[in-house]
Amino acid sequence: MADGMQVREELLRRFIESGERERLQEILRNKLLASGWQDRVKDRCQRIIRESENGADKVTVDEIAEKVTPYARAEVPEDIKSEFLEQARAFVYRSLPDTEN
Amino acid sequence: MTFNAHTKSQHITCPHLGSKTKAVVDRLKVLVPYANVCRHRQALLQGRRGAAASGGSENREATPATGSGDGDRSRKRLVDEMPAPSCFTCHTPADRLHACLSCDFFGCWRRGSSHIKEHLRESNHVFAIDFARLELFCNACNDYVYDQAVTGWLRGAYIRWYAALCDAAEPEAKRPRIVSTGSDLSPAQAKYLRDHGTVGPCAGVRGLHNLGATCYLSVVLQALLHNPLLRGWMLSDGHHPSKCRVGRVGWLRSRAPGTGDAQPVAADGDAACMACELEGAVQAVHAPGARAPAFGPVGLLRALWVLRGDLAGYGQQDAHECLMAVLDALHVGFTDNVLAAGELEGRDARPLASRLAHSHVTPCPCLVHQAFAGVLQSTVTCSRCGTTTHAHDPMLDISLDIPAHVPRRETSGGLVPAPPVTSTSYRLTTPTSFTARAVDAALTDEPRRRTQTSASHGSHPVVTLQDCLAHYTRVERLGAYQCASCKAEAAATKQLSVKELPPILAFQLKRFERTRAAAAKIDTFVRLPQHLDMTPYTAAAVAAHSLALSGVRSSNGNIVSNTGNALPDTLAGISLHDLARQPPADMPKDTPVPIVDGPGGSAALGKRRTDATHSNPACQYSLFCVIDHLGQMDTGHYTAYAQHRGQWYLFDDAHVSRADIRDVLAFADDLRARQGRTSRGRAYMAFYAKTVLDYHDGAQIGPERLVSASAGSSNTRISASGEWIEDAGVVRTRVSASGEVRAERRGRKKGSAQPKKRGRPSKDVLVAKGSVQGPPSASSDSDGEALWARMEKSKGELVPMASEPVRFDPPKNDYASDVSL
Repeated sequence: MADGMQVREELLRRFIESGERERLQEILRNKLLASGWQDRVKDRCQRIIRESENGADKVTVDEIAEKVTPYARAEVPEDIKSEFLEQARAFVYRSLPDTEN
Repeated sequence: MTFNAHTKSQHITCPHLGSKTKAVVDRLKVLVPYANVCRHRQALLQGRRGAAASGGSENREATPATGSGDGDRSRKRLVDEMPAPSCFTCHTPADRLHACLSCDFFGCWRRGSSHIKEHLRESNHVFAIDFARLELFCNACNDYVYDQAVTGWLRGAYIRWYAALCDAAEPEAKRPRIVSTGSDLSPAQAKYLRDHGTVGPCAGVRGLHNLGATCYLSVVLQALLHNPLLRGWMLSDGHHPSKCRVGRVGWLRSRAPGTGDAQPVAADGDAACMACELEGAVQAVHAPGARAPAFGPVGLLRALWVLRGDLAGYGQQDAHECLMAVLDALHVGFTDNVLAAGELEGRDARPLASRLAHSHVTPCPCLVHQAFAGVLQSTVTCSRCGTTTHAHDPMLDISLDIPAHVPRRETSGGLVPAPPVTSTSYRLTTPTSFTARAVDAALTDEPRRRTQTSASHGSHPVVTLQDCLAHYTRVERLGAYQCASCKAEAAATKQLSVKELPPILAFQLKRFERTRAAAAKIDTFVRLPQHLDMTPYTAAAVAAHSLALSGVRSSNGNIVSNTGNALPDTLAGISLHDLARQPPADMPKDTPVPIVDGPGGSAALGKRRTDATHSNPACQYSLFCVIDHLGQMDTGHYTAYAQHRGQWYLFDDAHVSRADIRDVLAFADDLRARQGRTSRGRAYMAFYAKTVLDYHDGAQIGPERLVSASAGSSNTRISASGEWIEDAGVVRTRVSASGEVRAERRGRKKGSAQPKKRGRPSKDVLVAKGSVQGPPSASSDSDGEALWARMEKSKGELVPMASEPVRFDPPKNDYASDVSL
């Protein structure tokens, strides 16, 4: 599995350095914005902070992330998810040698 | 309660920072340029100047400052070759990298195992910075901290990079600049006011009485009163009755002994100045300790009736029509009615308007046009000879049709496949066990698991404001067009785009449809985003897109190659679109190929434009006011939501209540629309303000100097809360005839709920910038600047209503600005 981790790192590095991450991030941001996801998740975070037992001043980022992640994941529209999966797949295909194809 | 803007003890700051601030900032000076280059590498490479970070001379840390072409090239190479950092422990280049501010360590931050936290704990270092989002983490507090000095510095750094990124997104573009209001204050006076000002607890939020079916006027007024530019201008005496041809009569009378009324009294006969009346309304709304909860805009209504006979009477009017009428009247008030200094002394002079030389080319310098006026571009392309002609038209707002049906957001209308990586440098040398097939299997496994959890949400298409904009800027076919170039009648296409974006964008959703038989109201729900990116609808983006479609030549005459990876000197759209048509051989079969023309193609084109262009930081907008219409076509009621100091309020004539963003954006209707149930859209108008304002540093600018102000220094302001000009802390000054200065400060009551340091949601969900406080470091020391700096300083804070329990509202921020992929 050490090999796998190494390749993952290398893939990620290519992903970032080729500018693919930057490109996809920008597209994803616009799509999520248009889908209303961003506004809904922000609203949910506000509620989490408001309803926190320790008082709004004591909430940490990690706690909010913990609570909001399931909701935020589920709220991502299906089509956006599959589009980006497709993109990720395409990137991997382009980066990896076709040893078995 | 007295509030001193400089009392730092009232802010919740990190107790551990203290004397270390300077060291932290010194580290940031190195890290921030590095982080910006890593984050915006591709965008910067496309820019005219490459690593145009040196556009701000302050950025010498990042790049050697040379102005020559050689320098540009070396800078580009520097940007290109700068390595991306990775975690020192596990070597991952992703996963929320943080940089230690005491040593060279970079560490990742995953839930459960955070290598940066481990490092901080073990080596006893305290501060780290989120490398992508640039937020300061304090290990002793175990949270992100928002210190005034550090966030102020970061904001200054952002402003310096802003210009570079704007330039990269749209080379050679000129960003229109705002002329800031003048102020007659000396620095000493400004300081006195700053130190001695008091604030009414709910100054600025006041209902307006309905004076007989005048809810249309109420909502328009609220939209104007909460317009950051207009409010800032009014509160700093942008238009004062004493200097107004029309308002002066009433003003002098009101100052006569016996009348204690400070409000301008209406002038004689049928003269009226809308600007004076608005100034009166601003005064009334911001008056500290107002007795009555609501205020009757009698003077304004009278002015409207006098100036616009067609709107007079007690009938119901259209809010959009009313807004246009008010803006028109305000323009007259700000220009024609203003008396010059010479006229005040009794000498006769021409009206100001005739001295302000402005034509179709140079836009009107009055505030209405500075705030609302943009330029639309209409591009007509002859299908026979391919000649394009541009026509430019001024606009004050954008009236959007609501498209009847939304294109389904399928993959086909969406993403453009990435440019193929042909150069071998991006090919990996991997162990043979790790193959494409294995990765593919791993990738397909993941979503299936997740699909089950999210399938219940339904995905009926919902019309969004972006859809309306895409529809607005779609390619239209013209039937018979007489081409000037090929002198023949031929079919042509026409496309609208925005050439120049105004600081305040007003949208009208055309909900009133007049067919031949009858008029009906369209009550389709339209989703409004809180943040709007206008980049894809600008003329530059549209041009890049059509260039890409015709696939001919880039602007510098080089033929765009169909191969190769990132083409640094061409626009993103070109390379992406060209490549999109030739999917590389090693692409999977099911890779979507965009259909260039087809059913519903126009809206899909808009979508793809979004994908193709780097978003321009100068085209970012935040929502600050929504006008809703309830009821039918011919009878109904208007209400308005407006944001005041980060809090949303619902204004229903005289009634004002706190509102949540979920009310403003109608989440309930949104959900119903997504589930395919009947939903009702109420939003009729929406007002957006630019998040970053370019302005001329116009200290001591009187109206006469507006035109020549372009020679002045220029600067850029960034807003933390989406309101760059905050009235809180704005100084009202009245310079009386005898020269004495009567000044009162409208500040704010300091609430106990400070959004200073909050728990911040994060981890691939959202990132909060926090309520950034403190002035940007790029500030000059002129008088006007002092006023601006004060406005800047005192914003982003919350003012709880005096009578209500303090409620927490997280700071306004640019959340989810970075989603880890």
